Amino acid sequence: MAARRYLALALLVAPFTLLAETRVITIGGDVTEIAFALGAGGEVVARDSTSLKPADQVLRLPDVGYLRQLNAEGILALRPSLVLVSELAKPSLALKQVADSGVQVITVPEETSLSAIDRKIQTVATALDRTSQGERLIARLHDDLQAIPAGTLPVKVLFILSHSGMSAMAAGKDTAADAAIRAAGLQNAMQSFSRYQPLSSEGIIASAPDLVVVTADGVKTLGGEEKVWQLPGLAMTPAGKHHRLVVLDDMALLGFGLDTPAAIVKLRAAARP
Amino acid sequence: MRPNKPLLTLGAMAVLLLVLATAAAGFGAMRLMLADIWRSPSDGMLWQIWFHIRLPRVALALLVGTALALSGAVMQGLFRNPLADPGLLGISSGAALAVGLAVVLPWTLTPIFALYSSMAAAFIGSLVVTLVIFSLSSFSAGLARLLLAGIAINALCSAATGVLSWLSNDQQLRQLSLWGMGSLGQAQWPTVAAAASLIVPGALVVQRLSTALNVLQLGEEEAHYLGVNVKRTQRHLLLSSALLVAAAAAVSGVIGFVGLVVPHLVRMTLGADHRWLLPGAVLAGAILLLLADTVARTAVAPAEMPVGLLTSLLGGPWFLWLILRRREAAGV
Repeated sequence: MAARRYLALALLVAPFTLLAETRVITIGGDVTEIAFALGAGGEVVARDSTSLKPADQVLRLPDVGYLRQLNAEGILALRPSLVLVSELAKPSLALKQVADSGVQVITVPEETSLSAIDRKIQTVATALDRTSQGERLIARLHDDLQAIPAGTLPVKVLFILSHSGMSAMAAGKDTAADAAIRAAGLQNAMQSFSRYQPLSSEGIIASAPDLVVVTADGVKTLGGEEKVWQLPGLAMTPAGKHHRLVVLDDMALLGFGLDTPAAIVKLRAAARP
Repeated sequence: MRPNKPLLTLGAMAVLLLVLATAAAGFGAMRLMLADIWRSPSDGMLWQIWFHIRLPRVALALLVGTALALSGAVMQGLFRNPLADPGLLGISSGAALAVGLAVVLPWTLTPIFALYSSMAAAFIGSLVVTLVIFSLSSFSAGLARLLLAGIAINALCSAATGVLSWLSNDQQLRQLSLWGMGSLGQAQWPTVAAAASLIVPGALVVQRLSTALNVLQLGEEEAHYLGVNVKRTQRHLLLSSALLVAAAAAVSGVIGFVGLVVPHLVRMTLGADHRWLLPGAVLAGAILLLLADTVARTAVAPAEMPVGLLTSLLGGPWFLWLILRRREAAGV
């Protein structure tokens, strides 16, 4: 009799033990990269279309689509036990439906500041039960940042965003580029406007940048580094006269993820007289 | 037996719709048929996904397809122009402008409200444009002037939306453009109920006016001599089709070409009599959008694609062919 009861209990418990494996879906390029850096790559079963790093492992995974347009059923079909999602994907009905179906959904904060990187890592590490790895990763990033000397340099930096199919834009205030420039202890040359604005010769000359930052994609779009100085007004600035240009990976500089500290260190090094 | 032919066609379409709806409820990213739910009734998760995620989406596709095709049929009848469509009077662009405002303005919304803000905005935007058109139509403006007013409203709203896109940051811009592509991803039972509460009465009002709409095809003066209250009929038709578009835009964004293409398809099979054309448009619109959305949510699973893109991709070439064929017929 007791044996039968145990058997019934075992049958009841069986489905849960089958579900005990951790199946994680990471949504947001920075979130995915952090999960892999913490050594949880084996638990990640799917990612979103903005998750491209580490390329060799991530691109093989199923893609649940763009993070602003998720499909609840598609996510649930992968039977996740945990969905780690960048704050950028919110508000989202699909994620609400996933949470309503009993799957744990954890939001990872999204801000453009160096301290936000620590918070992202802490959130992901706690969710994946890898707090010690998280602490080690944070410590390593802080070591990288030690390369940036304290204090600010009076160097005016112009960040130019250029994608194919649009005119080149300069980064004003309230942009990730502005935050990155300030994190490097430098000044954004474009103080007169917010967000990104198309380049105007007069505005560029008036802002008098000492250093120009272009993304690696931007250089490709423009057709080489020497083409940068042909942009409106740029040749007539201090940076143009001395050809002071630094090329950085846009995801690294603007994504405030794991590669950001190194990109900021590089930016600061380029600003040294 | 002739008068029964449209009835038979409609009956066949209704049966087809039922079959397709049942089939669509069995398709999705999840390998999950009704049979699976019967087999494991204890698995609450399966039932949850089927009943709360997939079924409302099927229902919403039927409703929105109905609304778009019906308002298209009414607009084409009202303006006696086979190229009229629900976007003509600027209702969709009014909705888009309001959504742009909701997305770009720096509100601080509670998460639950943020989820529905674009829906509410789209509805308010379409309603405002509808009321403007409605008050214009009572100002003894003829339909032709109304059409021009609609074009002006369209241009104005599109320009204002353009300004908002220029002001928006990258993320807001993407949110705006995704809304413009249309999606039925917002489907939940409350959404379905809200949409139905507008679309079902709207469809009934339009159906009741189908005979008057037939008479209007003869011209306003002739219809007046035949005892139709032309002004009032036109205004009622306008208002109900505007409400249909408003409800559709609020829950699904902009889904193009269903309103343009479906009435034509139905006219080819059922003829131009609005008593048959309108119910035909209801059924055909529901069938078309159901098929398109089923493809949209299964073709690239686990992701999904915007259904409005699909309908426009299919509708664009059709529209071109239509114009070219009309030119030959008219000898223009």
